[in-house]
This record gives sequence, C-alpha cells and structure tokens, in this order.
Amino acid sequence: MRKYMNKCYIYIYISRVILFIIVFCMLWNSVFKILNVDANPITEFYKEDKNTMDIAYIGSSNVFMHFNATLAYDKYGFTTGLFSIGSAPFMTSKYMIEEVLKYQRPKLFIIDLSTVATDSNIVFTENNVRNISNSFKQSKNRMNLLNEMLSKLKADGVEIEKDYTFYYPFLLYHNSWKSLTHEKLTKSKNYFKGYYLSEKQVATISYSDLQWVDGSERLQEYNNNVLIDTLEYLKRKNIEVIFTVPIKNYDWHVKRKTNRAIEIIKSYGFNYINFNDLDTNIVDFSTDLYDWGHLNVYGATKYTLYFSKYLKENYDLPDHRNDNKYSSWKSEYERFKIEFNNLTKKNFDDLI
Amino acid sequence: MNLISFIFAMFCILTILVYFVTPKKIRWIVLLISSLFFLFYKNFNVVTILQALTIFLSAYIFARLIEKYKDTHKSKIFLVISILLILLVLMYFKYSNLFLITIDHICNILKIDYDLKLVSRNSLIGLSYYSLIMIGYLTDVYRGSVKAEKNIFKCALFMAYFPILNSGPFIKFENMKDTLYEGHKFSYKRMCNGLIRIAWGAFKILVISQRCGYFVNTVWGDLAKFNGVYSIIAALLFPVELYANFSGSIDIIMGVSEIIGIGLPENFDSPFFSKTMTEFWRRWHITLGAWLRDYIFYPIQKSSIIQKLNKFCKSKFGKKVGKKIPLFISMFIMWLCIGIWHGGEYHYIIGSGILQFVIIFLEDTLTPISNKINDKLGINRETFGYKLYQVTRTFLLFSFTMIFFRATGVAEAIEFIKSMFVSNPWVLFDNESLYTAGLDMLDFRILNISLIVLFVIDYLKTKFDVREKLFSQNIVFRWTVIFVLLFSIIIFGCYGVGYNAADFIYRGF
Repeated sequence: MRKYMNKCYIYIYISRVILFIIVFCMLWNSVFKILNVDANPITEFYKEDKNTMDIAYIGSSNVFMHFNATLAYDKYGFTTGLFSIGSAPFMTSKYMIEEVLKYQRPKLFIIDLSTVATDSNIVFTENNVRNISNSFKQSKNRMNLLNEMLSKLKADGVEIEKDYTFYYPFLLYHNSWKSLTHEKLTKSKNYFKGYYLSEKQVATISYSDLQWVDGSERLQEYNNNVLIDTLEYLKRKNIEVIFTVPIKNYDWHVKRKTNRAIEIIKSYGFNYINFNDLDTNIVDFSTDLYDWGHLNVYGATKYTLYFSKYLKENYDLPDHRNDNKYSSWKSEYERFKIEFNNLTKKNFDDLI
Repeated sequence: MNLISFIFAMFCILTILVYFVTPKKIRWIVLLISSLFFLFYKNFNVVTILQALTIFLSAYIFARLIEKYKDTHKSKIFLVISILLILLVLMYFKYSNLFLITIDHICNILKIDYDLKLVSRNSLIGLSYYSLIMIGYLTDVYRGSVKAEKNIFKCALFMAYFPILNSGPFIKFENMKDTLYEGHKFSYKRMCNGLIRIAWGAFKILVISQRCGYFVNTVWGDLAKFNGVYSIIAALLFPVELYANFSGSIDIIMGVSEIIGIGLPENFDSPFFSKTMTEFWRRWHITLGAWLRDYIFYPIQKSSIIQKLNKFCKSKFGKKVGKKIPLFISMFIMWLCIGIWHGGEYHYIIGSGILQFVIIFLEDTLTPISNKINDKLGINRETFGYKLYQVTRTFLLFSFTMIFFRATGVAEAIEFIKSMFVSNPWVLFDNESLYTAGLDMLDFRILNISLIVLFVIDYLKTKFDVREKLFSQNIVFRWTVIFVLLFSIIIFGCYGVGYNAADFIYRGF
C-alpha cells in the first residue's frame, strides 16, 4: 500500500512539473511575442487555423502592400496566406516555404522576385536579419535560416557581436517593455489577413521610370547561386509555384538582372508573371503608388483584382465563401472596408 | 563561475542530477568532485593548487596532530603553527597591498624615498572564506568541541563545498559533519523550496541590485556632475544594492544546497529593520559575526592580558566603567579584523571596521543618557514612530559608513561626502534631472516597486516562514506568485546585451 502511495505521489509530482513547464512556455511565448517583434504579416500568418490556406504568397513588402487577400477571398472565395516581411532577401524563400508547410498545405506558392536581383549588401543588414528571424517561431528551420543569414553577413564583412542574441532574441529584447505603447500592442489591427492598408501617396513616379527593359545581365554570384538552389529545392519538393515581379521602380541594371533570373526560372519550367511588362497597365501611376516601390490601397485593389482573377482562371482553387470555417475571412474583409472608408471618407464598394 | 550564468546553472543541474543517481554512500564524492571543479574553474595552475593545498594540508594534518597531542602544550603549538600557515597564505594572496600601502605611508611620514608598486596575485575563489572556516575548524578541534576528520577527502569537501565558496556563509564543522557526508534522499518539496529561493535571489540581484548599481556607479563615476541630491540618493541606494546583491547570492547558493539536502546557516535576518547598529550586525552577515565572536572576540576576552586589564580597570574606574574598557578593546580588535577581512585597503578598514565600532561604542555609551532624556521628556519609546526613527537612524548611519566601503580610497570617500553638501534640490522636482544618472523614469518605477516587494517580504520573514506560507496556499495562487516572480526577473532583470554580467560585490572578499 505504501509503495503504491509513493508511486502515486511520484506521478503527481511529475505531472505537476510537466504542467508547470507547459504553462511557463505558453506564458513565455505570449510575453516574447509582444516584446521581441512588432506585429507583421508573418506573426499574423501564425494566427491562422491549420490547413486553411489555398495559396501561400511569400516574399517582401511587395507582397503585403500589394495583395489584399481578404478582397481576393470576397471576390473568388480562395484563401491566400501572406508570409512576407519587409526587405526579405530572396534566400529566405526556401525557409519561408518550409515554415508555411509546417502549418498549411497550400496548393500553390507565389514567390515574390522583388529582391532576386538586389545587391546583397542592401538587404543583408543586422537589423534586417534580426527583424526577419525574430518573426519566425523558434525551430530548427529558424536556426538554419539564421545560420545562413549570419554567415552571409560575416562574409560581407559585417561585424557581429554576440551572435547568441540572434538565436535567443529575448536576451536583447527583454528590456523592450520600456517601449511598449498602445500603438505597438494594437499594431496587428492594421493588418487584414496580412495585408497592410495604406491610403497615402508619398511619392510619384513617371511612367518612363516603370517601363521595363529588354536584355539581361549576370546576376551577382550569390544571388545566382541562391536562385538555383531555391529552384532545385522547389523541383525536388515538387511544389507548384508561380514567380511574380511586382510593380516597382527598379534600377536599369536590376531590371536586366531580373530578366536573367526569369530566364533561369523559365529554364526550370516554372511559371512567372512580370507585372511591369504586361500589355496593359494594371494601375494608374499618378494615383496608385504609395512610394517608389509599393502600391497604396488603390493600386493594391487593382492589382489584387487582376491577379486573383488570373489565379482563379488558371488554377483549380476552391470557393470557401459559404463555409463557416472561413467566416473570419469575411469579417476581416468587412473590417478592412470600414477602415478604408474611415481613412479615405470614400466607399470601398464604389472602387471595385 | 558567476552565480547568474548559464554555466553555473548547468553545473548545478548536472551536480544535482549526478548526486541523486549515485548510490547514497558515495554521494559526498560527487559533491567533492563538483566542488573541486568549481574551485579551480578557469584557474587551474601551480600557484592555485599550492595555495589550496597549503591551507588544506595545514588544516588536515595539524588538526590530526592537535587531536593526537590533546591536553599537552604541543597541541597549542600545532594550533598556532597551523593558523599562522593559513594566515600567511591569506595575507600573501589577499593583503599584500595593505602591507605595501602601510609601508608607503610610514615612509612618507619618515620622509624616506619608497617606490610603491601594488601587486596583483592570482588567488582562488573563496580564499577568505575557507581560510577562516579552516581556522575555525582547527580551533574547534583544539577546544575539543569536534573530532578531527580522519578521511582526507571528507575534510577536503568540508573546506571546498562549492556553494559557500562564492560569498559564504561561514560554516562550522560540528554543524556540517553529518549532513555533508550523508547521502540525502531526493525531496520534491525541498526542490520546490530551493528553486523558489534561487528565483528570489535572482530577483534581488538582477532586478534590484543591478538597477541600484547603475545609479550608484554613474554618480560615483562623475561627482563633478552628479552631486548634492544625486550623491545623497546614491549613498542611500548603495547599502540596498549591497544587501540585494549579497543576500541574493546567498539565497541562490542556499537554494542549491537545499535541493541537495544540505542546510546552510542563514546569513541575513531582515537587517534593515534593526533599531541599533549592534542589532544590525546581529542580522547582517550573521555567520561572519558568529565566526569573529567565537574565534576572535571570546579568545581575546578570555586572554590573560584582558583579564588582567579587566581587574586593573575595575579597581581604577569602578565595576561599571571598569568592565567596559577591556570589552571595548576586544570589540575594537574584532571590528578591526572585520575591516581587514573585507579588503586589504584602509577605506575598507574604516568603512566596515572602525566606523562600525565607533557607532556601536557611541550607541552603548549614549543610549542610557538618551533613554533618561526621553523619559524626562515623556517620549514613549514603544510607539511605532519612535521605532521607525530608530530603524531610519540605523539605516542612515550604516549608509554613511558604506561610503568608505564603496569608495576606492579614503580621499574619494571624503570627496563624496563633500559632494553631498552641494545644494541642488530641484533635481527632485524638475521631472528630468534625476533620470540622467543611469536610470530612466521607468527604471526608477520598477526599482521602487521592487524595493517595496523586498521590504514587505523581509518584514513578513520576521513574522513567519514566507515560503512555507506560500506552499500552504492553493495551486492557482502559488503558481501565480511564482510566475509573476519568474517573469519579473526575465522581463525586468538587468542582464543580456547592454548589461554587464551580474557581478557579486562580496565575491571579492
């Protein structure tokens, strides 16, 4: 009897310890989600229910400022997860796909090519590496991403002190409670299923700047290797993918380098769309640009309507509009419209 | 090995795990190996080995000889030789500079040309602690209150038991001999108690002490800029920094030892609630006080010279005053020792020795007069207000003495005291100035809240066992308190990038 009681106590103690650790980890996760990183489309992506995404659109800010997934859902009923973050180097694509596949089984991946030809020293900065990696959940995939980004930073001659703070960001950010503001805590409200609404127009670009060029030139060796590595990975994994070159004011060399990237992509048999090189202009350059590289809500609406129609027509995508499981998509679209109407004093329905 | 470090955490986890999976009979060997690893961690060389071996072998061999020749004059000779050997090592490695500075001062007075060159010697962690512990052990064997340990390895464990090496407490062989070598059973309750104590210690160090340190160090670092109110606040914050740091590190090592099953003597008993300096020193660094009482004060008191002096003074000045003079002489020697132990420099001797003695002497002499005046004025000494005044007075006096302790020299301490008289009270009221001395407004708020928590807990500790009370609560309340404590450390603790590693002020002694 005594032996039996002792055994019972041992089980009770072990389960208490396990429960304590679980509660601690949950609290830790919640606290450092707030302290480590501001809300962004990646942190928003993690909030979605498992296996509810038909498409995953990955890349940089040209994803979350250009494609309004709630509008695409309202129009055609398919769901698009925007796994994107500002200034994400193209090399992050592979890791983003890996991360998406942990939580979702999308039929199609859309990969943003806006940084495929960008010189690495522009996108590889310490802040950028921290911002991107901190948005990923702790996992082996995040470690691999960090290892690659840090070795690239070091290869570029960037001096990095205290590498461990990249892997364990709370050592750096636990003190960020001092900068907690109401705005920071409610920032996720500015995202609508990952789409970031901005009605502003801070810069205008002439049509001639946006005109695409013919011809190609060699990609930077690093970018070339990353592209081939990513394409090999996609082929190996047998992933259905479409590459997009977003509407943006590129440097002449970058345009030609992007052409080279498209040639390589084509040689692997993957689909692509260069939105700067279409027969018709989707957006009005005098009113629809936020700045030199991004669309405002007017441009994003036109872009989304055009691209989602293309996707619906060319891929077998389901319609979830009558499925209660996806009701959050509808409510987010309604929230988006209210926010649009408040910001612009216009009716969004008149726009579409 | 820093107590607040990943390596120390891993070291403790590994030691505890191996300890409890090893057969009971040989568990003390696990502690011995861990302790030796801790002792020589990153400091394993011929000098440190010789240093430890000299003290250890002096204690071990002479303790056996003292016991063998008990009740003969030889045992006294062996005791003196062994103590001298240990003191020689301690002096050579810790107090050479005190000796050199003294020579320099004498040469200055005699106007002799002397080129002062201070030395830096590589001493092992805890040298001051285990040297005194072993002197205590030898004295106890000589007095016959304990038997000399025959097993050389068990004796080594007593000297080098790793939790005490960092900042004490001082242990006595008669209290440790059974518990240290006994193979303790694992206890869930003890583990929980120990972990809570470790967390509380970490809170004191990382949230309170480190934060106070930023302000104190900034002010001390630039007295031309930060004077007046800044200096006064720094002077008041330093004892709190010291207390949170020292008692926090004691909490951590007591927690670790508690998990293993080896109880260590308490070193603090809410000292900032003391009404007199005498009481303060009964509640601050208790084990050092006890050691000095047992091995310095009583032997001096019982010495033939003091006994003769006692008789002489009684006959000359009467019974009441006469018995006080030898008592104060013994006390002065004891306080001088405390000052020397705290550091081989004059400002330590003044701050933690002579000034403490002076205050206690004045307290003892003036209290009867003060009591008479109070009685005549009809002041009730039992009211809360009067007790608060006494507690505040003790704290302020201690804060003043600690200026010498914190300074790098006597001249700097005097400079600091002068800086306190600069008049700039607007610093407190202009909303910004106060927050330019290392702590911003939010840090001050966190510090204020943490200090309230610290003093409330300290006060409650005088009434009941706080941990016992916590564990008698239901699981929701209990876990809420624990999680609040843990996340306060994680979020508000001063560690990681931008912060220096949590150093232990008392580790240097």
